[in-house]
Amino acid sequence: MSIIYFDNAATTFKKPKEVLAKTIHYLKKGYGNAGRSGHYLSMQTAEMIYDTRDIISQILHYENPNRIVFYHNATEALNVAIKTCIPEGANVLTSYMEHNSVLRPLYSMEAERRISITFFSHKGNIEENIKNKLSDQTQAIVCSLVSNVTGEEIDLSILSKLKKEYNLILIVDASQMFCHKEINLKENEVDVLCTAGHKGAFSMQGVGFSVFNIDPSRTYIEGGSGLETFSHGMPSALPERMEAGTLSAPAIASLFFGLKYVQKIGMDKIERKLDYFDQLIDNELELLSDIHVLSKGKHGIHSFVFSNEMSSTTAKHLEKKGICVRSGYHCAPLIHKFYKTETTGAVRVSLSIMNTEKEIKRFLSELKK
Amino acid sequence: MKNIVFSIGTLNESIKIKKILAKERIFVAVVKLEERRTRNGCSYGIEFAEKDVYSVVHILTTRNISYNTYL
Repeated sequence: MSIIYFDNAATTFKKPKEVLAKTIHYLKKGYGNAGRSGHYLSMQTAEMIYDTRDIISQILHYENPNRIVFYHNATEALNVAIKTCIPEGANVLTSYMEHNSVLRPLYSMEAERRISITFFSHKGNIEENIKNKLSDQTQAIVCSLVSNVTGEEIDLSILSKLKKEYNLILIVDASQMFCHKEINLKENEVDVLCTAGHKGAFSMQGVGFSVFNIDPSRTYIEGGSGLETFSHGMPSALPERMEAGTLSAPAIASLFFGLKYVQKIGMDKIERKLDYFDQLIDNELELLSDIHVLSKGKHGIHSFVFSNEMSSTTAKHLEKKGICVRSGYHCAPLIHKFYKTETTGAVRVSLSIMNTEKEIKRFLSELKK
Repeated sequence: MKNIVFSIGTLNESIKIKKILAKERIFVAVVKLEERRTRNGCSYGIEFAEKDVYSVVHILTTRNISYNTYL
């Protein structure tokens, strides 16, 4: 029995064959340490990393590749953005659908009395919800574009409009939207966009990045940069200023090949395929009895729980049938409180374009049993 | 043929310039600068054929990209 992997919001398991083949070839060919030495292997690696910044720029419609800073994952990217771009004393608006990678850095700053936090609802009229929470102290909005639990979306154009209207700092977590739907940074002004590579972009684990449209007020970590060796501080220019230490060339190379694949398929086609999968699942879930569907699925993400059953029980049952889903709370505590699933958790099914209609039908058939 | 080195500073800016010039069919190499050509430790630049110097200067100046010249 072949495995059906529906945990793609955590990590895409099945990578496109050409992404795997090219990454393996890259690993076999070898690589140097970018930005440290003058020999050709070091330079080739540096150029590959630059080319990855460049392809990210193309996909996001962003003009300056050197303002794209690599991290190990989206959590690290978000921590840096939140802790270096939000001014002391700010009131920060965030939503109930946030992952702990947004919430915990904010809570940590709040505990140190550096900021205060105000929550807005992601349901209904987002613009009004946010406007209703604005105060004289509000200086920033930090939120996800797509919930990792329900796939619900916060409209980037509304966030961008409010950012400009109220002169706010806007930091967005695009982890569940990047490479699932077009994100246009030319049309939508964002101060920092953070995301991971190992989800929609099909990279290995170990790479995330931020697009810094503003200059961080300080560095987050300091160390080797391959530049200005005798200075006590980090170089002033991005990306080197925020990239201390060796970058993961293999992970970044896999991101490059993943993004090439995404470009080849096309964002429209990816979005349409996920929409189609969403409809298949939504239509069937509606027909089931004794089920609480948290919200209509979007971006390939659906969460539900059966009455009188813990989500882990359902997940274990599905695993026995070869179907991998995620139960529990998905590192997003507030959305579970919002949908009153703090006792049971929820079963999350998260799809990728590598999944098939046949797999979805087999899953739905198991669920009906 | 003599080569010319321009000191740019950071590696990523040097690569960016290499790509810009390549689009204009001017091919340069990104190089780690000799220690005697740096003021504060490691630094990077571009190396190219002397015949291209006027084109390189024109393109960098047009784009407000700063550089230092070393022969």
